[in-house]
Amino acid sequence: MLTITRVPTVLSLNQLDSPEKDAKKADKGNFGLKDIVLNEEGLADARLPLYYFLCRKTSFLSKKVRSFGDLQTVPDIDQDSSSGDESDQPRSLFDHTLLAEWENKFEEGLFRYDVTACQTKVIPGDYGFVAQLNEGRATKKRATEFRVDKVLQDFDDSKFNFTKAGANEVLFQFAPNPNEESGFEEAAPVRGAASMVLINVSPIEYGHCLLVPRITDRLPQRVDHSTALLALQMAAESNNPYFRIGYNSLGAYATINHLHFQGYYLMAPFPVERAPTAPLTKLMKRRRADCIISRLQQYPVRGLVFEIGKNLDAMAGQIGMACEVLQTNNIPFNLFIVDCGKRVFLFPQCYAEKQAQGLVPEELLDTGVNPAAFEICGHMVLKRSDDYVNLTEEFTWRLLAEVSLTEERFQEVVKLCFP
Amino acid sequence: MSGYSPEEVLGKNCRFLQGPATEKNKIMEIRDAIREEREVTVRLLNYRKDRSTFHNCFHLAPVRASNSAHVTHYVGVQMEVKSDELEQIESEEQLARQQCSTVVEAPGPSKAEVLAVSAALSSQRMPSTGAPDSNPPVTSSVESNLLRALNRVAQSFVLSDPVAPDNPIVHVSQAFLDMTGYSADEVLGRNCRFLQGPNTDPAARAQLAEAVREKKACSTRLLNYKKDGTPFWNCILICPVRNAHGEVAFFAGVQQEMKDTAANGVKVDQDAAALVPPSMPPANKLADSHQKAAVGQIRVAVRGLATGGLTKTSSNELPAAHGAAVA
Repeated sequence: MLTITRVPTVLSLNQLDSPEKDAKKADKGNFGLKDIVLNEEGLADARLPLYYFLCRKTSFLSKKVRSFGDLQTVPDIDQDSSSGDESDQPRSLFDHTLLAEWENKFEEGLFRYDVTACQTKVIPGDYGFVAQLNEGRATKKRATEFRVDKVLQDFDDSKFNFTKAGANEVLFQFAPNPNEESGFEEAAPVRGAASMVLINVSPIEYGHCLLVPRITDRLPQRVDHSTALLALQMAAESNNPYFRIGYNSLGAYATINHLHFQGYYLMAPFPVERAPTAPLTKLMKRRRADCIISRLQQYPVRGLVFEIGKNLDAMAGQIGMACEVLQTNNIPFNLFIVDCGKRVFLFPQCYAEKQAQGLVPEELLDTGVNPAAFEICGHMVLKRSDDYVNLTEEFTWRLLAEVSLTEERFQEVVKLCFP
Repeated sequence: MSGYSPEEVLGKNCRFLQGPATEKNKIMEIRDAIREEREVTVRLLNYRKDRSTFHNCFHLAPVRASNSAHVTHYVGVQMEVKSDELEQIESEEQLARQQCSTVVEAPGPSKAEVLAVSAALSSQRMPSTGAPDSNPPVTSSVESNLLRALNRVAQSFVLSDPVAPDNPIVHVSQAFLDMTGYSADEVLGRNCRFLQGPNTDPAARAQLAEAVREKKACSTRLLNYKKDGTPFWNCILICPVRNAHGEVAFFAGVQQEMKDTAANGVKVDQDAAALVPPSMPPANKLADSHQKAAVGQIRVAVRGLATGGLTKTSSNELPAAHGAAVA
């Protein structure tokens, strides 16, 4: 059995040990929502904000999939959108709701630190890796052993999961509206196993949230067609290409085995979004109707790229299928959803496994960077000031290259996914 | 202000404003700044045409051509400081000196105004350098990347510079101008208190002033006045906004006019606006969420990392340099 020892990141205040938690939760009124937890009993009488999303059954043809150009050109997307037709880029109710609700939580003081007080910068170079110094994420929690060689594990109700989080951490319920358009209700009863969007109390950028599909169904960390679709729908509700969604499987730096995706706003291109891609010729032909599948090039981590074809549902089907193959073959992976749901990166990875086997160079481990979805895509969150000041593109590349499968293994995995 | 006519001024060096009692060290400061092509703010004693004196809070800044580092103009902005204000300013300065080591040399409005003028001057020159560009109205002195992101915020808001003396406005949204009837050049460089008037509740004013001083968020409602003198209830939310360095770069003020309707109990009496209902109507939830969303958008924008910082690689010889995992 392979394990790594690490201090889990605190996503919810109820993960904290009592003194720290009590200090944080003291005097935060909020109508007693903090005393309600997100299980069946707690939700029976609760009324929580509700965001209805539009079911996009038909295809939406987009003129532009790549929001941030490529390595040669950096289009000014804010210019594009402001000079463009307003009806073409309606302000999204989703972004409005997420930002307003998040700002409310910010004002209530629910976050463990003020993420906007963390320094961040673009590292000089061709790719524009983004570094952040975040000294507040660390906790006094004890380090825990995490098994990294088992991608699928049963849900364990004795461990922390989001049904134990406080209702005051809910931004809104996230439910489909099959008929009309997107909508919002200030306080709505919780019907059945609702999907919830929660704050991440240890944010790495503004708006950092967690999408927990069908929260009381207690799904373990595992992606299939329907849950991939829900995440894509959330990305598509935002019309802000600076909002991205990530997913980490067990063994790829997820620390809570309760199905969740993460999203936040970073007003800069992620390097991976600008990297070139190359077609996988055979796959292209076969899957064109559903989505276009290609592979990343000139990037330190090998990965697959899904680009929307017919519609979100068809793309979710392809992604779900690939994830199921990785999961049953016990291959840890990360997902990264960009371009408002129109492109998705899939990275099978082996860093945690190497780490458990003592194969990762000490200098890389020393930075404490856990290469999960956002890090792999180029947002490096550092705990130590020296690391932040001295981080170079070359070092980042070296660290990320350790995450990647070898070329040989990558090709094997691609064959497994798309036989 | 000075009593001179344009003909008497144009073509002359601005030192005709100086006189026997003008502080020599202040003049040297200005000369040094010109020699070093940098901006400077000083307060000095100047003379009007009729030889009466006034305290001039003077800000000078070089203006560079938009595509080079070459200085083409200097902009000087003068503001007369009245003697009663001076007393207050001096005591504030003393306080500031005690509190922090960076000495505020002179309080004044002008930095943002100068920036606005600079922006106007350099954009005027744009056509001659090629790009035929319809110049957008100057509503801001923030950098252009940030400006475009801020332009997507629909709500009425201003950004002010809490580091500059008296917290001058450096960015104003179109919705603010539409709401108040002011034009951008009447707003930029001023402290936002110009919205206040005779019947503005001093307690609410004090609350806002304290929040700015303490660098804290604050929301309140107070009676404000439009340019034409119309009073209106302004539901205002102010908060410090941090940039990518994690420093407070701006104070954001998001305004929401509370319309005079029976439903929300807001009443503005033109003649006796002082008749403030002592128990204020509860804040409108929807208005509140609009303001919060605007603050969120502003926070994300101000933390944005300019794409201009990225080097654009010219050829396709990228991967070899790194030599690692490539297809």
